[in-house]
Amino acid sequence: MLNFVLRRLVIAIPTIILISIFVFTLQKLLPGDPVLAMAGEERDPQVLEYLREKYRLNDPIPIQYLNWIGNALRGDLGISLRTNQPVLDLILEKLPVTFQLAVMAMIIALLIGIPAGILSAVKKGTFIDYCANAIALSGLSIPNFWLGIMLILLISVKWQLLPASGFVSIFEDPLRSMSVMIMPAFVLGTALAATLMRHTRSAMLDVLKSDYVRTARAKGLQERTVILKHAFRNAATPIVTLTALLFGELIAGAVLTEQIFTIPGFGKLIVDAVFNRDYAVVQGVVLVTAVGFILMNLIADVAYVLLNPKLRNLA
Amino acid sequence: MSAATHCNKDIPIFSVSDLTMRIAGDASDIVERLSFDVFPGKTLCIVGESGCGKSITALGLMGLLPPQEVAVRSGTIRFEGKEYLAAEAHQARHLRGDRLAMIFQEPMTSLNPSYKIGVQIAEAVTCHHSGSYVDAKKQALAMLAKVGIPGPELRYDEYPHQLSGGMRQRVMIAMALINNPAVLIADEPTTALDVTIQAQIIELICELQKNTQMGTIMITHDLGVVAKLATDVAVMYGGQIVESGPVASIFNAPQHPYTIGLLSSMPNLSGYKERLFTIPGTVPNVQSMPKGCRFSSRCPFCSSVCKTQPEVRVVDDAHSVACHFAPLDQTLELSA
Ligand SMILES: Nc1ncnc2c1ncn2[C@@H]1O[C@H](COP(=O)(O)OP(=O)(O)OP(=O)(O)O)[C@@H](O)[C@H]1O
Ligand code: SF4
Ligand SMILES: [Mg+2]
Repeated sequence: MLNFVLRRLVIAIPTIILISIFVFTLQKLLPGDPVLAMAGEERDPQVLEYLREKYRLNDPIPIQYLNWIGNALRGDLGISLRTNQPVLDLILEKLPVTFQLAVMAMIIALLIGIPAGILSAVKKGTFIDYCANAIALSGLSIPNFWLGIMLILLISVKWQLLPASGFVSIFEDPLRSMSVMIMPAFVLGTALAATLMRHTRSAMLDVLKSDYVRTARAKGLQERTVILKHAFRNAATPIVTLTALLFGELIAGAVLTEQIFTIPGFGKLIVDAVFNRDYAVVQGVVLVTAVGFILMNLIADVAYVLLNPKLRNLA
Repeated sequence: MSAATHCNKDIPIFSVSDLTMRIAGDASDIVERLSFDVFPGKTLCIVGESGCGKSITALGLMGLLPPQEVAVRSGTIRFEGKEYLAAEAHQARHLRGDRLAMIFQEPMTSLNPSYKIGVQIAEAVTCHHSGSYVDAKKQALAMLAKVGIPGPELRYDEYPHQLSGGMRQRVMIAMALINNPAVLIADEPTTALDVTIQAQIIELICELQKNTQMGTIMITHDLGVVAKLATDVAVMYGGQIVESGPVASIFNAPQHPYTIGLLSSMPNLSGYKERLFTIPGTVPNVQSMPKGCRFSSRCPFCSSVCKTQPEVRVVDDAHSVACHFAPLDQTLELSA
């Protein structure tokens, strides 16, 4: 098993290098001079030149890249041009916020999507199935920003049940933190719930047709045991993989939701950085996101192997 | 059919009468008016060509057909003295896997790939009997040894993919028999296996049946299996039982043209050794089943009376046939 994980990690290295080159180059190709953005009103050529030297923007691009990636490997992602803080510190400060949002969204998605998927597979072709599918379809087609704004207007503004914004760290005041995050997590989670529901449904439909489910029934097991133990255990494998992959997407997808609910997370960090041409931050954020994505992929693969007795023996 | 006179125990343990089933959306019945009895300690072999409705009958009796896919239109089942409608068979959960067990045609896919085989066998015990898992495990280990799996202690913790097809079928047999069922339905348990393994599995079933009062329904299209196991035979064609009776009577004096054809296709048992006879054509599907006698589209003796449905006639004390020309004056010689 360890071998398998190591092998997968080695395979991931070229991917990370490629992504980093891509991000770095793209960033350089974008119009706009970061030094101008940094200098603000200041237009003195000497000052600009000083800044260029300081951030080594005069070196050839490949050298700049090697410098950057070399430092990154040592945990130094550079200094934010705008705030003068180390990029790593900024990321470590914002990441837990988005992580909390993503975890809450995922829990909501799983709690809705999986039972709904199982139910609509078991009740295939009935009213319940149609309802579940209709709700899933609307969950997929309602844009996040619209749902977010509607929730704010209704729940926060009209009924004043939940705060619309005002992030609090979960370590400071867990209850308040959750109550602030629950609406954005719900907005993020619903679209995922729909995806999960549809995958659960189709995986369950496949499995329910299988001979071993018939064997489980022939054994005289209760229908609940047949479905949850014998059928779902096998349908769960693709769902766990999907969940790991979706989690990676969640972090990326949080950008818009964080804007709407003014959550000071990863999404806000990257949006601000892009608008301010804060190269170091953009590159750092994208690199960390890519590594996170690859890690989630790895977790998905490992989970797939662990859940499958046949592969588990081989690995 | 009544094999009563051939048994010591002359009360059937499992009786089916008038079983008719239809696949949802079809215009005619897939299985029509089946009736048969199973006696304790005896084996009823149901034979017939592929697609004639054997598996669907077995699954229907077990209550394993989804009601929205296959409608049970009529039929009653009497099992261990209790009578219930065949349409309610799927509610008889307490019987399934305990008093009434089944082995399937497909050993490769019939075990859950995610659970250890031992656990799957023990589950059959714990779901019907109160008692500890440790106890159930002990029983499962004993059963694994009984079905001829070497090293049960080690095999117990293995997953289905670690076992060969023959081994998996042995596991399925262990699972089916662990609660000492009164009736076992075996649906072509050897069709998917290698020839040498087939013989071993049949031998095993034969062994396990000895000294028990278990009645067995063995579905097969292998007449060798019939010769080895059967006490009684029911021949199915196009969803109907066309002939049934004690095995000796069926083999020595077949009455229905379909049975005669079937036996002729078996060189060593039929007595017609010179050439292998096959019945021309295939079983028509339900939609295009001929009116009257369902075999008439392939029957070499078909005549105008065959446009009406032949009633079941008793030709010998326990031997009955559904053909207008039964009973025959002499044994028919088919010249192909
Ligand atoms: N659930 C189902 N839905 C629709 N048609 C079905 C279903 N099950 C069986 N059939 C059809 O019913 C017919 C009888 O099938 P069945 O499986 O009982 O045949 P069989 O006698 O067991 O054949 P074999 O010897 O090949 O196992 C076949 O034509 C099959 O296509
Ligand atoms: S009733 Fe007629 S068609 Fe049917 S088996 Fe007898 S002879 Fe053949
Ligand atoms: Mg079959």
